[in-house]
Amino acid sequence: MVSVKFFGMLRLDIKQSADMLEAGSVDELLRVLAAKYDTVNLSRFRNSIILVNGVNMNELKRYKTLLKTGDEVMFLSSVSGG
Amino acid sequence: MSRYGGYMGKVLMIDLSTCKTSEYPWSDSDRELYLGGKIAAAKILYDNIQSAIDPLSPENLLVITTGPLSGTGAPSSSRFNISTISPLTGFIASSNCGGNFGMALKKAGYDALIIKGKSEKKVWIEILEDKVSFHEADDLWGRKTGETQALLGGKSGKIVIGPAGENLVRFAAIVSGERVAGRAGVGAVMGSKNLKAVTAAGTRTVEVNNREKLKQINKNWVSNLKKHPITGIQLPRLGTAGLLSSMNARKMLATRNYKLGQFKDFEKVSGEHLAEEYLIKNQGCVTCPIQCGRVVEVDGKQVKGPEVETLGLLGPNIENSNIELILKWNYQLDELGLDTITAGSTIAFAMELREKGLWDNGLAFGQTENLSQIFEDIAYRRDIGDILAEGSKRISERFGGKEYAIHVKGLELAAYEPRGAVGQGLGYAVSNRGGCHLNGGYMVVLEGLGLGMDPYTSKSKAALTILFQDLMEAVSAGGSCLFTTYSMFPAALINKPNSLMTHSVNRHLKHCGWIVNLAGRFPQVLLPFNLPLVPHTYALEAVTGMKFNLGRFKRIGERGYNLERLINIRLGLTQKDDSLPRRLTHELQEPGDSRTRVPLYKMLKEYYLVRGWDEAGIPNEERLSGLGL
Repeated sequence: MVSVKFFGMLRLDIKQSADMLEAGSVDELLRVLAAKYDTVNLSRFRNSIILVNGVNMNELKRYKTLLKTGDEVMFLSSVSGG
Repeated sequence: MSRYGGYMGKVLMIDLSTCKTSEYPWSDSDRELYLGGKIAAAKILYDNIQSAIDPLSPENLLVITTGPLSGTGAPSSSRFNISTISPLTGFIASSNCGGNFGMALKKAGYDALIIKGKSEKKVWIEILEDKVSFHEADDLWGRKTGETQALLGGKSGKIVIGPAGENLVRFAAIVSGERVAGRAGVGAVMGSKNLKAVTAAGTRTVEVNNREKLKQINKNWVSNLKKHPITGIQLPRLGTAGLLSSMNARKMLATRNYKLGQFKDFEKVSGEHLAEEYLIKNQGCVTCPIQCGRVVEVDGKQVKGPEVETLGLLGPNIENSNIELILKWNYQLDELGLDTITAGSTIAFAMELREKGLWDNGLAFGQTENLSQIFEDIAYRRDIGDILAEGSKRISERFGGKEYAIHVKGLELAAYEPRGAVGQGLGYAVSNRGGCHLNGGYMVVLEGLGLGMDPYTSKSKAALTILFQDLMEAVSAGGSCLFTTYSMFPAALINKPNSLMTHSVNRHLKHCGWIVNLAGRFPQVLLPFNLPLVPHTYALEAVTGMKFNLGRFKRIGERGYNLERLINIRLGLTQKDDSLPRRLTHELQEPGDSRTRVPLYKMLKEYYLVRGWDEAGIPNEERLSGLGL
């Protein structure tokens, strides 16, 4: 199981802060999420800042980054303010 | 009078020592060079304060300025600025506020108000167009900011101080409505003049050079702000509080007096938690489509909710995970008239001093029971509150711990931990008003929060810091809220952080320094155009009738930044003041990862070079001459 945490607008829209899901890669996780949270579409998950164990997936293998049990995946939005 | 639109054409000077008023000379040539807001205020301070002064003496000036866009209907333009010499730093202070006073001052017929001297008695001032009245304030003295404003009544614009300002707490704020000019102790300067409040009212209107053109520009500008993912979605829904989770993920959330960049219980004090459990509605300043303000309930009353800085510094930075306490403290601090940033940071420093056995003050990380009382004690300068009221710098001079007293030039840092965003570290170090994230250039927006530039590299950080400092300086001087600058980032980059285009921008930002430097060196030659992403220049042209382009706009910002620097040098600033606490430059945030400290001196050298300052940090004459200074 992979621990998934949601932040930013995505969290407000799906009304969920965290989940535990089965997925072998980021790509697979996105499809699982889109199927489960159908109030938003797949692109909302794809266009989040996705951190795998604190590292941006773009610094890993992007959507092909492999996941294993115990991994933590965070979905964040780009933000600004001050 | 002025031949330009957007200006009322008058600057009012009030001498509290004599209770006399006069018109301060301010010409169209000044308007062309300094625009308004904080840059105009800097010029007034430069012309009137010739050497270091005691900021709490009658010699100090309180300069309240508006920009030409204020009162014209331009979006997010109800801001006003308060500049003075800071009792925390001894250098220039500028504090910006979204309350109702700025537009009211213009309705009364003035672009700016200068208050000098000191009243013999406790007074408040009423400005009703040409009539300025001085009223005894004995009935108001001692009252909190909300009650004071309620007692003043009417529909006038107001600025007031609370008990903290009266008692000369060095980080006392000035409050207008529910909005606060919080930073650098402007409220203490007002208190030192025995001035409790100023009200302004009138029926005058702001003339605009081309009203039809402005109407069209405003329509497009508002539409763009509402569509933009940051100004149209994030800030209205989550407020600035929405940054906290991202700051934690990026290891830039000040935690345990800046010892760490992440807090294990960050979710409990996050913007998401605030929105889900406590937010009643969002709200904003007049003419602002962003509506970033939070409305929450405290003790059965609907009040303003906390900003990210308050959540961070009264949450993770003191190891507090109880958001309900922060909501309560935020309201309490506004009512007392205290800056929440310096309050939180000073408390955290005192906690560490006690932990290290340097000051037995009864404070401890994670211990929150006594803090509400401590805030009252600070405002009234009772017991240890009298010491805390001096701020971190002076406390460190008395008890030690300078290496982890988290301030620059005497002003405490905001909640962004710069070892997770080293460019922000440079910005804090050189900021004219001390440890300020905004005056520092707000590099965190590029270094992980908005875009994904490498937060640990020093490459191009000096150039980008200067670019953003100058642009924000000009945006503020024009009268706009700094949040309007966020829509300068193309929505496609924000909406699609994983796209190849965004990825490419993020990777190449660190190589763009030379281009930014070149454009910055010759802005009027290389930037002789306007861009829809920076609508400020279109609006300024329509309002004032002056010719604007990006180059001129950037140049005005650069002029302002250098002018503030010159004031600070006159007041005794040296290169040593462009520094950070040793904790941030020498202690690794992540043990074993040498990237996680701020390589300040490397960036500082480049910063001086690009600014046209010598190795001692003094602007060279050629550059100053080019800026008309």
